[in-house]
Amino acid sequence: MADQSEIDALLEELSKKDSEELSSIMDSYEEKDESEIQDKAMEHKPEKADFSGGDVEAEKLEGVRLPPKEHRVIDRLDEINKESEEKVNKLFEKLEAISSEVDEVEQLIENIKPYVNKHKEFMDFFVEHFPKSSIKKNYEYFKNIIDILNEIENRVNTIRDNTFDAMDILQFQDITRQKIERVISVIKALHEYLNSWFASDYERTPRARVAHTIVDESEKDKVDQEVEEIIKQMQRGEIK
Amino acid sequence: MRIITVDDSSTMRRIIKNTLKRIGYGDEILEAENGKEALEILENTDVDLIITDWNMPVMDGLTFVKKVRANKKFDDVPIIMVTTEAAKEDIITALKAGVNNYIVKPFTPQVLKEKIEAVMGLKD
Repeated sequence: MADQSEIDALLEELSKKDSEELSSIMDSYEEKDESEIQDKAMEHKPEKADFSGGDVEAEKLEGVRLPPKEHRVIDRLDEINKESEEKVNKLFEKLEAISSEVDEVEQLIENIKPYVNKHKEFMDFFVEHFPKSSIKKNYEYFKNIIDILNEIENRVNTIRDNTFDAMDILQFQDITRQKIERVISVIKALHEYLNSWFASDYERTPRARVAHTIVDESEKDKVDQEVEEIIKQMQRGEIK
Repeated sequence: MRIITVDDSSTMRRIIKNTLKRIGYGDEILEAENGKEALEILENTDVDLIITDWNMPVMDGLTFVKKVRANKKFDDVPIIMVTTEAAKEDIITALKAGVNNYIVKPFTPQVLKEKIEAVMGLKD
């Protein structure tokens, strides 16, 4: 924009020129003004907002950039479900490996037992018939070994029980997965309401029916009893 | 005894398979991810017991049970449903569809054993 002094100078110049010169001067001024405005505008033009996070493809929807796939709620929850299932399967593999090792240890104990028992029978006989023999001291040691062996066997059984309990607890993953599926179903309803803001590929993926009721662990025994009662009622023909 | 376990969760299939082995039913265990896949297996393989989940993609457990009961080739195979669904109306719906017994997750090996014994007894 020209300031007042520039305008005054221009008016003075104009008064000295004829009309032809006048239009020529006006054209050059307008061209200069336009291009300056363009240049200034380009200097301050803000860059387009980029939510794509770099190399990730971001969909355009009527001029609006959507967040990348890994930031979309349903896709992310699906990914979490998938990852947790993979990790739990790996955990299960480890527990199965422990269980298998425990079986082998137990088998080794079983293999040793006949020899130990045979040896004990021999020592029992010897100590009984030669009570003053020096072997009696060894016999006490030997009885300690038998006690230790029995203790190892007990510990092995405890490890096996704990391993099996841990395997049973891993059912939580499937139950949690179904809880997340319920959250997804709520988001899906929101998605339909908000239309494309939560755009995702999820509609093309076959999904499991969403669980209606997921039992709270504190009520599990009560629920199991109710299930039993309903089955009995059905069997008695009381439920039509 | 040949058992098929139908569940979309690989973790659950693994847990059921492992539990069956622990309680003495681990002779032969087949696996399917959904009802459709299980039906394909049943078309070609004789099975003594079906253990199925309810909520699965492609074909859910309830539809699967109805299809099993509608097929003369394997309509008498006992079915145990193992699911998170614990509402009374859901249990009745499953039993009416042809489920022989019903287990709510999470289950213990003892419960699974008792239910198997119950349904196999019914079969006899």
